[in-house]
Amino acid sequence: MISDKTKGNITKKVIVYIPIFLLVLFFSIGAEEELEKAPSFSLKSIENETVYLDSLLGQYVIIDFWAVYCKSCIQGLDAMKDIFSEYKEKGLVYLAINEDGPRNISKIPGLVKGHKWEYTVLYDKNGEVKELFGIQTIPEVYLLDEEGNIILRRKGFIDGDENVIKEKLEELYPEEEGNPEEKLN
Amino acid sequence: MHYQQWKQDNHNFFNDVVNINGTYGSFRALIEWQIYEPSDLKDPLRKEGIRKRFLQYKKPEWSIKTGNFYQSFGRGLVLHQTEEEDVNIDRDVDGLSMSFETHPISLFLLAGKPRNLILSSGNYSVINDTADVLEGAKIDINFIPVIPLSLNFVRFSSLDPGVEEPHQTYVYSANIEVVHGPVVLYAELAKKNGWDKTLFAKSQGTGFYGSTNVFVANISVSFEFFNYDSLGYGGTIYRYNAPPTGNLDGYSINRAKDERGWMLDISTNILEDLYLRFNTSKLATISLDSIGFDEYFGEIKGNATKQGPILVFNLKKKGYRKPEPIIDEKIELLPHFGISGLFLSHSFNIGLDSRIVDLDTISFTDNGVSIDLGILPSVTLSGRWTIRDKEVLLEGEGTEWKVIEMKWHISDKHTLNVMAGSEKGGLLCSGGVCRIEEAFEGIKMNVFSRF
Repeated sequence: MISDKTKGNITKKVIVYIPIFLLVLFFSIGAEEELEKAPSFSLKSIENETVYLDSLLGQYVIIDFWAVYCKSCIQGLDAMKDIFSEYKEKGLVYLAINEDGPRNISKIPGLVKGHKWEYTVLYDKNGEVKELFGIQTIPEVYLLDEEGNIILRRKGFIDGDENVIKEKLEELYPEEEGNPEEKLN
Repeated sequence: MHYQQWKQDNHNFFNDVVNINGTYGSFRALIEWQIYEPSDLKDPLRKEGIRKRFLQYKKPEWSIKTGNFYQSFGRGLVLHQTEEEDVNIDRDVDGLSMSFETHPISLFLLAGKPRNLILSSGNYSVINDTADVLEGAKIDINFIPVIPLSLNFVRFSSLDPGVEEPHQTYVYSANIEVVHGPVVLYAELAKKNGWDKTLFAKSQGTGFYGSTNVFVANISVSFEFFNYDSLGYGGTIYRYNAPPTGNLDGYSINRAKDERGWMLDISTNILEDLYLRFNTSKLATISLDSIGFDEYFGEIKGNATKQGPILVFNLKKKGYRKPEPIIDEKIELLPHFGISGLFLSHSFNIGLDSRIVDLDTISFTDNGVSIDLGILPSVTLSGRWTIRDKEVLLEGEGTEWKVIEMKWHISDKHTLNVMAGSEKGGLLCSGGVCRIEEAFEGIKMNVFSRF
């Protein structure tokens, strides 16, 4: 049985916390947001090469947190496959950071190759980068500008989400204008 | 910030976790503050205070960290103190770690108290609330870049009741990983010497884990093999190492005490927009072949038309031999059909699932349907409905679970998730994210915020 005193304590705490949260949320949404710089990190890739985020400055970078058990993550990575093929020639880098522990790591190369993913797949087996980015649920996708600032953040994946990223990439990589003579024809 | 409030078995719970993560030059610090208040006053884990914290100083060539951290060596044969979200176990070390890197060698050292925390049935519990201490070292040697070698070592000290001096257990391994063109090869050999806390005697153990992956002509083939003879160390209900067991479910019989098996996985995208996968694995004890686990999985996934919805069908069969002392055999058949895509610019995802279970003398079936609808670009509405054809006490109470869920991406930094109804529990991929959900009945609200 729950005592009335305990119920009262819980109710009091809830009453205190919810308005505080809503107040902070209200001001946080209303506030003009400054660009946030992505934390720097280095991780090993499935090709056993060390990738330093800082060395990718000057290029647009997508960071996608995923795991083998996460169906939505795999759905999202499949959906981004064609978009990445289109933009990698233009210099886009796609870091697919895997959050599986050592027990599942051996399943990753087969999964990546079986799905024909061309992303740079990185192992974060001790969850350090996930912690740096404050990730609570996966998938979560970040798009970084050439200076390493976060310009887009998407939590979760449902069909059609890839179009939000595609539209942003279209803004960042405008179509080169064709030959003016061809236009006249 | 992560705020949850729910009601279960006539008790109210709320769990509020705030993460404060700061970076200043080469320094980094984290404080995770938790308020966990089940209304049951006897709950030993009611708390308000710091759950995790660390301070780190990091330079490109070296770093030092004090506080809570995750660490695994190799594939976990020697050390596996990391978070396993898919099974809801959070293992870390509270202590000190240091790393030094000077090409072609890197060194990692650690010392501290391990903590294994689980969240089950609405309760947090530390399953290794002991005076155990871990000290470890790992050396990565990269003399030949295509064949990196690692040497791993852990000394485990446990102070058992009635004993003045702590007992020591030594676990060490060597591993290589070769990545060359379409071939990936990994092998690790481990040994254990010293005190076995579960046997209360000295013992020796060995372990081997090998995996290979080959990708030729658009077909990817992976194979894993393992044999662990008395390699597991820790207590009776917890381990500080947890090597791979091949299967897709992470199922383990006794966490490296007495296990061997293999796994074969073949997948291909050979036909445009059509993905095929087959996976099979076997796990058994070395001492008794009558205890084990076999798994078969097949999947076909593809677009119905060029821009049309994605269809997926998969079938999994799991066979447990002697999964519990009172159960001789358990067979589970799990068919799944799913369709997802866009309809009038709204995303949808419909899933039909069954779970057909044969226990020794009982058979039962769970049938379920799940629907996700993207009603607005930032709002997803989901529903799940599962019916069991009869009451089965071994599988928990209830024969029907219905839940409706709304996820609102308020902004890039704030997400609100509200669930109402009853949930059977387990791994859920709904509304675009995957997470472990505890069985519950009532209303649950989750707020994820970043400031």
